[in-house]
Amino acid sequence: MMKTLRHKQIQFWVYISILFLFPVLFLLYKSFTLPMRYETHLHAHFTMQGWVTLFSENQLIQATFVSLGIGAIVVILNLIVGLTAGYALAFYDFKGKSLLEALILFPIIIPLLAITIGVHIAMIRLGIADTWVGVVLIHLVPTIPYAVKILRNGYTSLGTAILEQAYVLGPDPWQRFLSIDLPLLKPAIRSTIFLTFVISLSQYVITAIIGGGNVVTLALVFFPFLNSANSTVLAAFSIWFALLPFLFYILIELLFLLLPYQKPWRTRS
Amino acid sequence: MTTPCIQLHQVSKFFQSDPVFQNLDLSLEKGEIMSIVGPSGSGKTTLLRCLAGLEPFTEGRLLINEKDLTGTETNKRPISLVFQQPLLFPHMTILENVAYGLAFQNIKKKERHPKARELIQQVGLKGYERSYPHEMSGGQQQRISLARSLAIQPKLLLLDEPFSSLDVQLRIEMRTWVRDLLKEKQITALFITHDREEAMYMGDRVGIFHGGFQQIGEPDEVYQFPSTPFVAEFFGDHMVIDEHHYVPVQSLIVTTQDPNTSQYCWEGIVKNSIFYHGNRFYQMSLPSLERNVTVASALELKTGDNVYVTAYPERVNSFTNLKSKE
Repeated sequence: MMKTLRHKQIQFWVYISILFLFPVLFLLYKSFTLPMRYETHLHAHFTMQGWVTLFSENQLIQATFVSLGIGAIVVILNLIVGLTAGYALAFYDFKGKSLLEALILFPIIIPLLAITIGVHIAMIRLGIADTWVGVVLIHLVPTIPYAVKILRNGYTSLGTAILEQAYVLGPDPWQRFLSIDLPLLKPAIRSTIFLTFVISLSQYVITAIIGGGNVVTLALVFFPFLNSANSTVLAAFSIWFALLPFLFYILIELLFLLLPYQKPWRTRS
Repeated sequence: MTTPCIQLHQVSKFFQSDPVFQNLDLSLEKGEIMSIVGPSGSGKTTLLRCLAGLEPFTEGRLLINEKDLTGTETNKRPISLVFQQPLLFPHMTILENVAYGLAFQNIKKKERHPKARELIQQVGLKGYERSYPHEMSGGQQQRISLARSLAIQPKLLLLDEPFSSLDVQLRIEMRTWVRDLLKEKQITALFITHDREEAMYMGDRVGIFHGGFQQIGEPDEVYQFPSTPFVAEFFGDHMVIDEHHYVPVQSLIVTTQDPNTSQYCWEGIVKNSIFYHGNRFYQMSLPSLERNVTVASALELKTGDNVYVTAYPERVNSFTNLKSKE
């Protein structure tokens, strides 16, 4: 019994190292060393050149904030739509429910580019093409289906009974949402936040089309770098890129602590 | 005489156009416990949900202390509901669970926890305040759930088969204990069950529910004098002879010889035998009545034996609702 447990632990760390730790550490290593050439043997040359080039890109900091801002708004809109639609789909019975569910999934089935080009014309008429509003709206297209799906499942597994039990005890709907729904749906909400944030962060084509070059996100700055053969710079950029969701994660976890009835430091009595 | 604390006037509930129950009247005195017993699917849970406000009544009115609450939202009703499952909030401690409802009642923060502590002590779980629900057993969880419902000091407490998820031993313990607690705190309660023993034990009155109340009365009275064939079979130990007559099972006599009385004698076939409280009971089918009946007998009988089941004519009764009509 103990042996198999130990065995599994070793297995776990082997997989973690190969699949996660090694790539990340290797990327970090690459960002501080010159690209390997035939002549250099296996000797690593330390350099800050990658990071210097990265920060000399004058749009970097602004693009980072634009990405963060757009991502945050996309996440908030996704949560609003996902929680309300998810609740309705989980608990209400109405005609055409399965049709509606299929419709919500459509944006992932239909090529995003086709939707974007169609929507672009509409956005020009509405005057929101080339603005961040337009970019936020177009980022909702590939994210909403996931948000609704995840939060619907969250509500389904929560069940009506516990919500009814809470309601009987006297909270109004908003108080109940804060004290029961949100804390219990935390895992689903967390998945939604990170999935939609990362999807929004990595949109290049649709951001370029709708933003029209006016809205410069991190992805727009990042892609031209792909042409440069300098893997040191690329590695530095990738790490910077990956840092953003990580910082966002910490921010969200801190926000979660503000919810009622949270005791993250509780030790078992 | 004072007006009853809880009053239901002519309430009905329809799902689409199918009635679940129609034109019910019911009133409860303060501190009274009433059991509602009925087979599953009889609509008793729907009645409770309507009382709690989780479903609207299609027709009729609900009054508590003469105040009309028919259209009041669930969270504003002075009614609390204990479900079949404990449904404790897993992210809160026991103390927070019990104090939950108090947060919405204009009670100062400082007073909520002492109140909750007192209730936790009353349900016999002092010392568990800082535990989490998943660390408690099923019976303990259900007691916490009861404490949480009592904390908001409801004018009416609804209990929807609260012991059905517990094992038999614990169930018997719990019902004694819950009844004592409710009586001590003078709580007006409606207790739903499908178990007639539980209904008789818990209720000052019992209501036999089957698409509406078949009969309401004190447990003894309902047991001994059923008003309809349904009540006689479901709640009492009676054998229904026809639409108008029944006979208590304990006054049936089993013989192997034909007793030669034409009235109230039926041929039967022994199906099997069981022991209960030290007595031997035989389950037998009476083909002429198309019924099965379980009768105590000291005879040694085997499965498949042919017997005669006789009832004294003076023990045969008419259903009470027919008597009153006659």
